[in-house]
Amino acid sequence: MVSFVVKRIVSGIALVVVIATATFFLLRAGGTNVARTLLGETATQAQISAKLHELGLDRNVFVQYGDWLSHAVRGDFGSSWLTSQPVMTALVDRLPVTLSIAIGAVVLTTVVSVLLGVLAAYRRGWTDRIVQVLGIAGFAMPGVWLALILILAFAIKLAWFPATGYVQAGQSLGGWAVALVLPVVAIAVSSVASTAQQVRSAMLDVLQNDYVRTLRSRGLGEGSVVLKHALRNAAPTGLTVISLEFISLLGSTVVIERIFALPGIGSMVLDATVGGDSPQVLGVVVMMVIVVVVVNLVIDLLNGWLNPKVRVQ
Amino acid sequence: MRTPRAVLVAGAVATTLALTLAGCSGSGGGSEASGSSTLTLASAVDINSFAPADSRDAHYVQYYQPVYDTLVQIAPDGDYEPDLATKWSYNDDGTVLHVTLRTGVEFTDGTAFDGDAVKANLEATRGGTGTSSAAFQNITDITVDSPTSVDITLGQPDPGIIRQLALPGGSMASPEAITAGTLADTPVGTGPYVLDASKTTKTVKYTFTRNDDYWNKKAYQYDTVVIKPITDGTARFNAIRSGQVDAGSGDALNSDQAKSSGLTVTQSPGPGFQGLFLFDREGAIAKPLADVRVRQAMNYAIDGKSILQTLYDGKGTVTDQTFNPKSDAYDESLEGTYPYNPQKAKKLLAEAGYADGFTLTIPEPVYPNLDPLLTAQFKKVGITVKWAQVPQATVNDEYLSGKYAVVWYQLQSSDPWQAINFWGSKDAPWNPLHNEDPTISAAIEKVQTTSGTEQVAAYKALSKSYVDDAWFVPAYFPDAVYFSKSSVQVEPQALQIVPSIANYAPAS
Repeated sequence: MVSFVVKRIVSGIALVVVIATATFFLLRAGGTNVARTLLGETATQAQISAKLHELGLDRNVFVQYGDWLSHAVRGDFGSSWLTSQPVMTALVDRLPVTLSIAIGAVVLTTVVSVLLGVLAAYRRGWTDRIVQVLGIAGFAMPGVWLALILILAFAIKLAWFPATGYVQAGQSLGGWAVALVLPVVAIAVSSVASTAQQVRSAMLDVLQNDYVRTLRSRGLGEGSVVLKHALRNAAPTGLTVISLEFISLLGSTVVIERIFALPGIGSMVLDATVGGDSPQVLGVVVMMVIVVVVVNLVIDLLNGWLNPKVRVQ
Repeated sequence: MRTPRAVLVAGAVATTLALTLAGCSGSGGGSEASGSSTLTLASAVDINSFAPADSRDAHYVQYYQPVYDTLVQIAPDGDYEPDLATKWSYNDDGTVLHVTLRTGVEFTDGTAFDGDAVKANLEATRGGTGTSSAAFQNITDITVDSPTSVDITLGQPDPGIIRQLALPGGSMASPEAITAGTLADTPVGTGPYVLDASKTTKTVKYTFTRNDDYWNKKAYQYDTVVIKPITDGTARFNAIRSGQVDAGSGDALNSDQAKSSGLTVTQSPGPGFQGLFLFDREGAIAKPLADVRVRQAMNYAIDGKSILQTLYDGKGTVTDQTFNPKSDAYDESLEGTYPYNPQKAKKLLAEAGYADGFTLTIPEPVYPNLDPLLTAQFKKVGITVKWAQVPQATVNDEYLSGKYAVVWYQLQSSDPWQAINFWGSKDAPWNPLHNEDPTISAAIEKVQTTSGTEQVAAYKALSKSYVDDAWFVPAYFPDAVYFSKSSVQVEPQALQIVPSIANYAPAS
């Protein structure tokens, strides 16, 4: 198992370098002028040129890349060109926000989709049909539209939840949870829809197996058969889907953080990309690739623990 | 049937959770302690550096005004009033501005405010990257006569210098902090508030607490000012609507919703004019534009009123000229020079030899719903519009690249001298093809070398030249729209997109 983990880490590092390099050159090719973003439309060409020189953007692009890379491997990602904050500081401050949303959505997705998927697979009939229709509806709903509806109904009209903003868990655990409800629900709905379908299919498959019949004939209670044995066998499929969902949920946070004015990585990366803030974007990209690699590794290890058949020897 | 006990336990847990969360939901309330008054504002921008040398104006003023004073301040109606300068006057040829300074003022780090501080600040801003830095290039020397009086020498007469001294670029920061180079993150000024670093998180929230030693405390009603940058318009509107912030800039199209949510909508003539900037008046890219009749035809062809209605729900001032209705340079008599008249437009085009019209390439405007209107209005007079794709992120650089003959855009036109140097003179940055016209150049010189009523007349003559020569196709000045809670009284600031910090007070 150790060699498995080591191999994954090495390939993870290679992935980080490849994606960061691609991002670097894509940003340069994009042509966004960060000096213009910083100085505004009133700036003269002389001021723009001076700023570009100050940021080292008038050098050869490969020289700039080499400079960035040599600092990055030492953990120095520089400072944001737009906010002057050190890139790492911004990432460390903002990551908990984005993770709170993404992990919250994953937890909600897991709980609800397992519930719905198991119910649908076990009960069949009308329950199954309702879950399938809900699934399609949830999947088709644009997350942005849903977010706006939720804000209008629950934050503005009913005032049960805040319309914008994030509360630090350290300051108020209740406040933190309440502020996350609407954003998490907004992005979790479509993810619940697709994951519930996966759980349902996996459960259907498993419940048809001979050993399930055998367990029942041995006198094991339904609860134990379905929830302990069958679900455990259906779990690998579910876990894989959930890990994929986590990655796509990270992507959804970009738009959701904008709408809810949450100070997470998503809202920052959008402004940084559009503004041409290369150090910040690269910092985010590197961090996100690392997060994804780690999550995939954890899920694989979890799968291995749950189901000895998939373990690598 | 499963055991009822499991169901009961689950039910109890769920109920407790729900009650706890409901009890914890403190949405809509203020986050500051009661007893002291707090003003929470949403800003459409986030500040990058608190150093006056790097400052910008427009939406950014609200970040600088709490911590800094300027030499001159602008009253809500646009008049210039003393701030750190008590008196100012020019010499005979307008090249030296003599300024008398207020006594007994200290920066919050204990340094005295005096003539040397003024010199240090003006020199720092002149060498900076802010909006005022270009204008300050015209300041060739600052002579400190005494701790309370300074002579500012200008390379050329500068009708706009007083305004520049009233904008964030004219802010006075502690000379010690300027030398230490720490102003970007830690502003040190003489202003009504001090930035509270413990309650400030960059890009999320900036808290300013009252400076108890401020020399003009009663002008500022709130003990604490909090600014939250919320750049997304929808999120900002929701924050105001749900009561999380007291006020913020709004979209004209949301005004009705705002009113029905119980918010106060403040509308005032905006600081920018929107319309077509005819960069290519000499016809280098689009030959037809060289003929003044063609440019005049375009003025007749555009129906500013209908565009204003679609984009801004009619909230604004339709105009034929380029100077702000609230400025001295505005000439009421120029309105109506180019009423919407497609027939007249076609006649002029025919006279110029374009009876069959011509094709014009315009970069995609940044305003939604505008393309079909312009396409239709131009088609009616025979001009076919070809829209060029321009990525949103590179709009300013693309427009200024010199590739386009015409762009539809909105540029600041608040102070007329600032405006002329922004888009109206041969070397202005937003005259990328450096068009020149002898009448216009002479008129600009007249403005520069006169003062008082003679200067106002000179501005109006210049405005007439821009209009007669159809250097632009002005459409309208969109209103600055501002939403606020009914518990906050807001006075709009003339020629500024957002109210100044001193313009807020608790509603009585």
